[in-house]
Amino acid sequence: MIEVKGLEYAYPGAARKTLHGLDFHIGRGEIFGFLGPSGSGKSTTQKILIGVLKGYAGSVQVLGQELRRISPDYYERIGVGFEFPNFYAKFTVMENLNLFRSLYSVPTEDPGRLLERVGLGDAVNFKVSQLSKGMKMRLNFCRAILHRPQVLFLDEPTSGLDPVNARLMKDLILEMKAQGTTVLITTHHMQAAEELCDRVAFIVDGQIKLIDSPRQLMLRQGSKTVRVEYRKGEELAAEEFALDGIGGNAAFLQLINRYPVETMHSQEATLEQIFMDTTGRSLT
Amino acid sequence: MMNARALLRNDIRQMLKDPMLLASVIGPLAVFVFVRYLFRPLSVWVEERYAFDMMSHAEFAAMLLLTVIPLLAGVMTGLLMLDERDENLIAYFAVTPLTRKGYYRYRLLLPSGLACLMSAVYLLFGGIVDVRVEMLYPLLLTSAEAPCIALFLAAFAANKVEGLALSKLCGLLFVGPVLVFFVPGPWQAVGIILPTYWPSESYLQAASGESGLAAVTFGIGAAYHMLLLYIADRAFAKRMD
Repeated sequence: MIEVKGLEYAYPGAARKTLHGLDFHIGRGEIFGFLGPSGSGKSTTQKILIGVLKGYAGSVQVLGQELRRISPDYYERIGVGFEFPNFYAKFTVMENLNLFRSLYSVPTEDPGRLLERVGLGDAVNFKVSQLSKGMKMRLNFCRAILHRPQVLFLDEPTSGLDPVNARLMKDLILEMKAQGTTVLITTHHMQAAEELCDRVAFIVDGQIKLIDSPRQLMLRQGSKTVRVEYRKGEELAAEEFALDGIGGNAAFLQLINRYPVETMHSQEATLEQIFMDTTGRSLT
Repeated sequence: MMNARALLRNDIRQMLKDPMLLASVIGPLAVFVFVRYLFRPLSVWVEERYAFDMMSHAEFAAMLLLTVIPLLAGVMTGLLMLDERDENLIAYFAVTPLTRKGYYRYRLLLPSGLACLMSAVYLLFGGIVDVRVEMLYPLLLTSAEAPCIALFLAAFAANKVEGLALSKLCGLLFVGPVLVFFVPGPWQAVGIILPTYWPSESYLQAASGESGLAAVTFGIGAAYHMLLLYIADRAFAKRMD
């Protein structure tokens, strides 16, 4: 679906390259996350994949087309949701969607039905200037999937959303995946990536430092132990036990039988920790 | 074509919601109505009252008012582009089948086509100057001015307020016909940097029977307009990047 080999890119007039030979493959129906701090090159990579930047070196194929040679038809097959959900502020929600809908020649979704699905059914006739950031983000998502794209590019899709709407957005993205849509998410929100992505790539200084499923990364880079917090009289105490053979670990069994346990967590790494360990940088 | 229709519908909707944009369309119509129905009665009244013959300056008036039409069409488009640039909507259009190129094409052809159409109606049916084939020179040149003005505003204004301020600067364009009609020979050279100098000069030469010279002036004017368009386009592209 997306095949990238030796991708390099330098902005015109820039002394050094922004991307230094990226290689990755994204399959049909996969949700792939590009994670990295600001300025790492993830937005540049996305701009190349959506055909906005063309002067790259290497090979970038999406839906079987080399992106240097795409025609406007390419945009009938991909959907893009930028981080900042901009619309014609004086127009209503429906007028905005209808405008963008009319730019496609492929069959499109019924905007009213889409709006219902993202919880904007009552806002159809609201002017966009009246919407909150969260509502605009949901409208932005509707615009990106209006034409039933085969590949969907989303930049910070949960940014500005409250937990309920962030959940709704994640469910919609998972629904798109279930329908066979390939989704590429660019984000620095680790939790969203962990919940949504089949695989993630950490990009730093224009290079991919790690690429794998969040689960594999977290297990591989974490410690195979369980940490138990328990109440010992007035004191809150904690102990760690190896996961291997924990069912027969006498000390562990004695502790959970003897003291009231307050929390018990396996110690796999978090994506954020993996990122910091790998790159020596924080996700800001 | 389908995309152009969608954008045109969108522009009409925007104009109906924004009185300033609406004025840009009504302005050329007002110019036409003034020339067609009010210019002659006004000149009779002025002559009777002040013994000044306005009709002897009809060609100057025609050229001066012709300058207004692309100015309004260009300013209207420039303000629309500023809005779309500031709202980052051009980036969204760029990732639809319209593409960024299609958006530019539409945005530059719209004021050009509008200016050409309205100027043609104005010159053909205004009724204050004789219709002659050389009218095509000012018609084509002024039509090329509209996209230059639109790009100039979109490239150099930081926002819509600055765009309005810059559109007032475009009032300098009225100096072009004034120089051609009222300033003696060598001093007219000052005007060659003004794009509006060239349509008036080619028209005046044609009206004086110097058809060959008028064609040459038109050619130089056309090349100059293309150069201005190229410069404004580069400036806008740089701004967008």
